Amino acid sequence: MAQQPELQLLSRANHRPPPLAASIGSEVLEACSAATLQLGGPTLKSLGITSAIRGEGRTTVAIAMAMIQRRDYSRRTLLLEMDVDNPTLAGQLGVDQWPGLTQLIRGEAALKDVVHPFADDIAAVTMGAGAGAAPRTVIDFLRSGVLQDLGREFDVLVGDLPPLLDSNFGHLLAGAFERVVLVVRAGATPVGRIREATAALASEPAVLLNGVESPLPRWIQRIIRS
Amino acid sequence: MIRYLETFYRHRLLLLTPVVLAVLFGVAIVLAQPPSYESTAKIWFDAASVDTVGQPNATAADVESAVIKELLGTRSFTRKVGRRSGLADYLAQAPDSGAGLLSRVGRILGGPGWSTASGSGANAVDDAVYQVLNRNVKVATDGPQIVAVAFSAPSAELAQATVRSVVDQFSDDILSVRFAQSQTIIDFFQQQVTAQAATLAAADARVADYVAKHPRSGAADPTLAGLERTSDLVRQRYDQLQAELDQARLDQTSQSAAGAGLRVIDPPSLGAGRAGFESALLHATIAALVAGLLIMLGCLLALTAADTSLRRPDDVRSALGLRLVGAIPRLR
Repeated sequence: MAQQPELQLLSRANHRPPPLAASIGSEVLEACSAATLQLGGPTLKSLGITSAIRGEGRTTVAIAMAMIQRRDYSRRTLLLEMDVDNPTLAGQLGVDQWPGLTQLIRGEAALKDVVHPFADDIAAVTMGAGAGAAPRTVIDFLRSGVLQDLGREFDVLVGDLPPLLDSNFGHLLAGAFERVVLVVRAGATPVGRIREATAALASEPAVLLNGVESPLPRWIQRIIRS
Repeated sequence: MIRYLETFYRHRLLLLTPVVLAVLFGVAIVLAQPPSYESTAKIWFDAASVDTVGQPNATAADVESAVIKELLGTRSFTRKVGRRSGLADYLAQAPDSGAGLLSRVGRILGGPGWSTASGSGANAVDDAVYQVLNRNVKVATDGPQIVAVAFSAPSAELAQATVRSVVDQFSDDILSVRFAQSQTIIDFFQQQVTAQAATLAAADARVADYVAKHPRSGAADPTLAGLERTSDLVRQRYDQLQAELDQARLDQTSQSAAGAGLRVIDPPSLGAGRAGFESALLHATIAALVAGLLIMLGCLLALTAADTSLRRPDDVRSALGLRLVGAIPRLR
């Protein structure tokens, strides 16, 4: 695979250790690895990660999915922040908030300026704008063809989408991705809310269930099993 | 079952909070109760003086304890005890410590039932005395002839005086009842003797009158013999009645000398420490624990019923009809 100029820049970048990426456990990575394989593995072009409501582990899973694409398939991976209402990826990855996707769409920054490396050959594009600019940013993004441009530069795009029920743009943005994964927090999100969230999606999402570990102590689980 | 267990472990802090709070509340109620001192007296009853007619299997203690309880159920008796012991004065003057929420709850949980007069006036005080005595006097048999009488009060002296008054008033009442009974018998025989004396006097007068009118009549005179026989019969009956009257008087005198057929074996004690504190604490703790557990159980059922979230990978297909691509044990 030919090394793109932008990615060479990324490789040379002297970036800080990513706080959230480093803290993602092996159990999460293995689960995401298995999920990636079921979603198409090395053939996947773009993957949107969403959830019904906030706090279900969406961003963590998005970062893990990006890491898996790089680790398992050595693909050039771009993690794209699309949570226009609550952009937090920069803080979680320890990269700069500005410039970001908003500036790229408006032509205020070049691609190489908005791509922030956060791990070896994995880059992130942050939102780069506050919540107030959300509607304009989403419309411009969908019209601009930036996603296609980014797709040409990277092997796979992983989008950290806004939650479907907590944002007005979740469904719109999810439609821009080839595959969509719905992260569901076990024991937290009511089934009715999940149905409500997925009803308006153009295609059925795949589900990644988070937090299936039983809260029971191991000795009780052993008794139940025996 | 597993769902309930999981719900419990998932919300264990929330679910255990009512249990802890209930126990703390119960302990606080007991601690907030005014101190209570108990005095006890034990009374021995003479089996011979106790009337067990109609209750062949009842002991003297059974009969007399029932009588004490009956008397405690009368306002006349409790009024006398209240005046005699100083309990009425105490209830009329002491601040109301039993009307508060903690006291009411404490009473429900087995604490001492102590309340002062809710109004002014003799009737209110009598009512308060009646309620306090009925709540706090415990009468129990302690063998076939021994009855224990116990009372709890905010001061040891008051408890002792009240128990002493209950025993004394009971003794007085029994004595007066028995005296009245024996007096009735004496009165009856006295009437009989008086009537018989008049009859005897008349019979004797008839004999004397006949002899006076018939000076020559002798033992062979059948009329005189008849009158004398009648007089003798009347005299015999008079003597018999006089003997009965003497016996009744003797019985009354001996009863008065012997008392009411009871003797106080253990005089009313002066309570040294707070009575029933450990017991009340135990009862309150258990009751609060049960209440807390019931609340917890209700919350557990409600939380489990209200939880429609997905729990296991299999739920994704069955509940949503969507494809599951992975399951993460827990995000750390």
